[in-house]
Order: sequence, then C-alpha cells, then structure tokens
Amino acid sequence: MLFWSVILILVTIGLFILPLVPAIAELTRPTDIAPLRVVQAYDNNPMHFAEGFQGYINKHFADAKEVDEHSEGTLPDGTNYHKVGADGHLNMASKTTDKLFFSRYALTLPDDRTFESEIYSQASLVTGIGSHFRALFGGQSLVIGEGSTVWRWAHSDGDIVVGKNAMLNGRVTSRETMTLGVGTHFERLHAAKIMCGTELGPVAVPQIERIVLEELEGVKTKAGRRSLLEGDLNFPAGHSFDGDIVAGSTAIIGDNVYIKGNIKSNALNDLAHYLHSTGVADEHKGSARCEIGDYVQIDGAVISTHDLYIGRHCRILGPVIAENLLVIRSGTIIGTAEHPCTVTAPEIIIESGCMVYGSLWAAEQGVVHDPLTAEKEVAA
Amino acid sequence: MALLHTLYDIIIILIVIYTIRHYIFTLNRLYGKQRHPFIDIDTANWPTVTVLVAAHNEERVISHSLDALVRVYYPPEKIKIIVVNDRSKDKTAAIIESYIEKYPGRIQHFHRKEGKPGKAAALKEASALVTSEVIMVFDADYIPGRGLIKQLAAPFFDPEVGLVMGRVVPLNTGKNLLTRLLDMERSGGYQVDQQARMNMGLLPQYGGTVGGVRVAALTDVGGWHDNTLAEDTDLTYRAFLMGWKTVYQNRSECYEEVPETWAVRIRQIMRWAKGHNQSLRRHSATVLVTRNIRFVEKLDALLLLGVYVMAPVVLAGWVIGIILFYCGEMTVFGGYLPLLALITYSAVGNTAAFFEIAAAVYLDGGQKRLRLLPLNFFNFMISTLSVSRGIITYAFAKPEGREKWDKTQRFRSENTILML
Repeated sequence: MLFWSVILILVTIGLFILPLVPAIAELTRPTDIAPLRVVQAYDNNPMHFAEGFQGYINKHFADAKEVDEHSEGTLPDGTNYHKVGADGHLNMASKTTDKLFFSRYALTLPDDRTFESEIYSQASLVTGIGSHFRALFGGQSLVIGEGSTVWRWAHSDGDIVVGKNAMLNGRVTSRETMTLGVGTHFERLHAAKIMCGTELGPVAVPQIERIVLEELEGVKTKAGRRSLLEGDLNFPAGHSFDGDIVAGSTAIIGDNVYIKGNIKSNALNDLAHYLHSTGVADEHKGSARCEIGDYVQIDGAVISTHDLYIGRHCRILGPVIAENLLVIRSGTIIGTAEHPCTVTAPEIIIESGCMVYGSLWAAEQGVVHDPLTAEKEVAA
Repeated sequence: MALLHTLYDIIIILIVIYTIRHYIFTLNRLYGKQRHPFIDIDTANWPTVTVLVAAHNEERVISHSLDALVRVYYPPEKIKIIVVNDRSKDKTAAIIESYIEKYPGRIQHFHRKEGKPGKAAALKEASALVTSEVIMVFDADYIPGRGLIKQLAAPFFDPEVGLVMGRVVPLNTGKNLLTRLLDMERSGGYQVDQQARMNMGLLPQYGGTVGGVRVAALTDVGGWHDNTLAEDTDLTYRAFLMGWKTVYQNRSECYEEVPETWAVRIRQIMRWAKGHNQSLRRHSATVLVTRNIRFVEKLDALLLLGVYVMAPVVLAGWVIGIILFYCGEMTVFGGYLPLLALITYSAVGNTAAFFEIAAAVYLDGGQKRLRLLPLNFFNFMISTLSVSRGIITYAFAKPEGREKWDKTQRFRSENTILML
C-alpha cells in the first residue's frame, strides 16, 4: 500500500513538474532574454532604403573617382560588381546577371534583362523595356522602361519617369517629380510631385456661388470645430461648410462643395465591397461608403473606415486615408507643393490626370488607370 | 446557502464571459483583419505637439529619455518638450537644466515645488502652459525612437480621434524571472489585447504614457482630473463617453523599464487596481446608460472597467466553491465545482489568458521565451492576491488616503549605457 502511495505521489509531482521542465531550463540557462527589437533609428523617412544604399556605395566606391573603362571585382561582403565605363552602355551576353552595377556616368540598360542586384548611376539611369530589377538608383534622373518590374526599391534625387504597365514593388522615391505611365502597378511612392499618366490641360471649373451651411443635420454632439453626426452625412451639392465633420455612417458629398476642415466616414464593413470588380468605373461610386463628388475642395483630411471614392477635379489638402478601396478620378489634386501629404489605402485605383504631392501608399496594390471617357461611362 | 449559490452562479457567468473575451481577442489577432490605418502616414502638415515628460525623482533615467527626445524626427518648429519636474528631491532638476543649456530653446523646465502630489495633478498644472494642438505624454523612464512622435501624431488627422496610444516594450527583460514574465505579460496586453480592440472598433485604452491627447478633446471632456490614481483610464472613459475615439498604434513602440523586484511590482499593480476601480466606480453607470454607443463597444468598455475586479471575484469563487462543497451542497461530479475549476483554469490557467500571452509572444517572434509560460501562473497568483489586497485596502482606507500616489522605483543607473 505504501509503495503505491509513494508511486502515486511521485507520478503526481512528475505530472506537475513536467510542463515546468522547459521553463526551468530556460530560466537557468537563458537563450532568449533580449528585449523585443525596436528600431530606434527608424525615422519614418520614405527614402530610408535609398539613403542606406547611397551610404553603402559611398563606403565601397569612394575611391572610384574616375572610371573610364569597364571593370569587375568583388566587394568585401562578397558582392560581385561591375563598374561601368564612360560609354555608359552594357553589353550583356546573358539575360540575367547577379552583379551590382556602379556607374559615375549616365547609364542606359538593354531591354528584356533581369538584374538580381542593385544598379547605381550617379548621373541619369535609363532602363530598357520588359526588364526586372532588384533596385535602381539614378542620381540625377531615372527612367523605368515600359513593362519593367522593380522588386525592392527605386530612387532618384531628380525626376523619375515610369513607362506604361510597369510593376513597382516596394518603395519608389524621388526628390523631384515622378510621372507614372498608365497601367503602372505600385505599392509605395513618394516624391515632391507624383503625376499619374498625362497632366490634364486647363479645366473649366464650374463657376457657382456656393451656399454657406451654418449647421449640419443630425448632429449628435459639437465640440469646437467638430460636428459628430448621429448617422449618415448627405452634404448637398454647391454648398460650403467651415468645420470638421464625423459621420456616424456613410458620407456622401455632392459636387462643387467646399469644406474647410476634415471629413471622416464611419461606415462599417460589409460583404458588398468584396464583390466589386477589379476595374475602375462609376460602379465604385455607387458602392463606396464614402463618396466625394466632382469639383469638391476640402481643406483638410478625408478618412474612411471603408471604401472611399473621390470624384473628378477635386482638390484635397490631405491626408487621405481609406481602410479598403480608394478610387481617385482624373484631374484630382491631393496636397500642395508647400504642404505635401500622404494618400494611403490597402488598394488604390488612381486615374490618369491625378496629381499627389507627397506619398502615395498602397499597402497591397495600387494601379494607374486610364480615365473613362464619357462614351465609355455610358457604355458601362 | 441560496445566496451563496446565487453568488456562485454570477461568478461563474462572469468568468465565462472573460474567458470568451480572451479567446475572441486572441483569435482576432491570429486570424482577423488587422487595422493600422495611420501607420503609413509619413508626409503631412504635422500638428503642433508638446511633449510632457512626467518626472518625480528620476535622476537614474531622465537623461536617457531626454537624449532620445531631442533626436526625434519631427519639424523642430512644431515640437516643444516640457519636463514636468514634480517636486523632485534628487538631481533631476540639475540634469534637466544641463539639457536646457545643451539644447537651447528645445526643452522647457516646469519645476513644480508644491501642490497636490501625483502625475495627474502635475499634468493638469503643466497643461496650462500648452499652446499646441496635441499633447504627448511620456514617463521619464521611456526611450522613444526617432520616428515615434510622427507615428503617434498621425492619427490626429482623423477628427474623431481624441487619444492615441503606442506600444510599451520592456527594455530590461533579461534582469530576472520577474522582468521576463512581465515582458510576456506586456506582449499579451498590447500585441493581442489592445490591437484586437483596435481591429474590432472597440475601446483601446490610453495608457498615460507613449501616447497623445488632442488638446481640443481634453478641453471638451474637462481636462485632467487630479482626484484619481489612474488619470489615463479616467481620461479614456471620459473621452469615450463624449464621442472621442482612442487609437492604438501597435507598431509605434517605445522602450520602458519594468519593475525588477516583486515588492515594487506588487506596489505598482496595487496602485493600478485602485486607480482602475476608481474609474469603474465613476464611469460604469454612465457607460451603461449612455445612448448612441454600439452595444459591443459598451460591453467592451464595461468589461475593461471590470478587469481588476475579477481578481477578488476569482478568489471569492474558490472560497464559495469550497464552502458549498464541504456543506454538502454539491458533489465533485455533480455540482459546479469542477466547472468552476475548469473555467477558472481556462480563464487564468493556460488556455485563455495564457493563450493570449502565448499568441502575443508568437506574433513577436519570441519562440524560446515562450518556454517560460507555465511560470506565469505564479505571476498570476501574486497579481491576483495583490490586486485583491489593493481593492480591499482602498475600500477601507480613509478618503484622504485613497489617492496617495505610489511612485514606481527605477532600477537603471544614470550611467547605464543603453545598447539600443
């Protein structure tokens, strides 16, 4: 009897201690005690990678003051490189290369090639069409060829021009103007000015006398400049308002409206938005939980917890934030040269003729779309 | 005996509700859609910000905090740092003055030599100096990264947002068992609990540090209240009831120092329990009767208010269960006792709260530290007893003694070289 009692006690103790064995082992011989890594130096700078790469180049190619002839070698970290000569042309025998290319001169790349390492040109850099790149750095300017793909990042201290149907993964940044061809897919763009497609000529803005709205309907509470609405916001066309508006649900802003303040729509998610088609069209206008008409001016931020549709020829000071799909129709300008801002959403469809000063961040994917003509809209 | 049965039923229902809550939050974090709507804002016409650094005898840590704050990446004309030196008796004042000399025009010293003790009272007085659109509050042991102020300022472009909360990350994790357990507990609280609330449009809690307050919202709700031990929870609820949202930014992380001794930890959690329950007393009825709040938000707000009450409730459940058992009111197999044991174990053992912590550590990538999880049971037991003790001492304390501020002791040295 005593034997079995002792066995029972031992088994009980054993079962209790068993899950503690790894814990006690980790306690006595710690293997994972470092604090969670928080990158203290990260400063939200969109050019973080490009500046880091510039530092890398300065470190390894500081002595390459004059390079007239092509040469090759290996950096201390094992990276194979190719210094481009003054002729600025590459004669690549194979379609694919894993070499890092460095050039102090203007550099032009051939078509239909794959570059698995970075390409750096201190002057201008022009890529071929239909090529694939890990990363591109064009000191003075950068042209990304039609149908080309960037995997990680691209940067220029000068202008960037992106050909039609390019695929820009990761970050593409410019200190000057970035022009995107129609059909370009993008993730994270930043420039002093981002021009989507072709710049529109002068637009005849309807000249109307806006009616000032002193009070909104359905205001739940008002604090300072902020009006918190009970339910939907239906802002009538041709009116103006001075203050911030928070809609309890959907927000529909009519054409030719001027709002001196910020707008927030609190529409809840529903299943409908998952069913939308992948092409841009006015169908988005009808299904968006936050819809802004044509020729609307908003001197502030626009925020939607759901889809956001911004009509043609609007001017928004920004930022613009949507938690689902963001559609921006042609002729709309977001931010100003003096006050650049951020446009961000998981999915962005932006039409040719739009302009953004600052950052255009599509967390999942963005696309520059050809604007619909009136005839096409009728057909749709 | 019927009363005991009724109490027992209520306790079991409460524990089941909290267990479900833990599971929902954890599953949401593991499988749900994650919301970080403001984290990508890197370019904007930024709001003006005043950073208030609350300091009371902080000679060991204040220099690290100020070193970090003068390096932040924010338009210099739009940021002002005010160190709220609350009646410090050590070298804190001299250290602050040395930084003012070193960085002229960037730091202001608000030296509070008298008045009501406590962080809330100090913030209340210091806020009178603020002329900016946003106030950001940091405790003196916090070390913000270069991009943190921008990340915390970004949600204020949303006119509905009144409060913003970042994530707190312990720096001194490797000191001993306690710091390692607290590191995992913090992971659970922020990585899962707070982010799940953000995902689900519920009520993330403003934690009083690594966070920001919109001045217009603060004015709207009547400013800081200095008659509370948890000015953060109090402000969260007053803002919530006035229609101001709190945003949690999980990727806006900031290092802090966690207690390195059990005595300090017990005092800290007792203060939190007292302060939180002050808010429970003040705001629960208002939350219940206020209209125009979604049911789920209201439920979450009430459950959040009740978290510190659950410790004595669990203890009471154990005691009542044993009494009922020995009075022959229920049998091991037929009564509620096994159910209570099961549910309690689920709620506080390793399948609910511990599931939450495990998921958080997994999401943080800390695979090996997860082995310490079973030891968190001891931390849980100490916390349960400490919270219960805090609530009881608060209930029986004289009114003038209830708001006594118990400052958390610092362990870092002024000369510590931080390897960040």
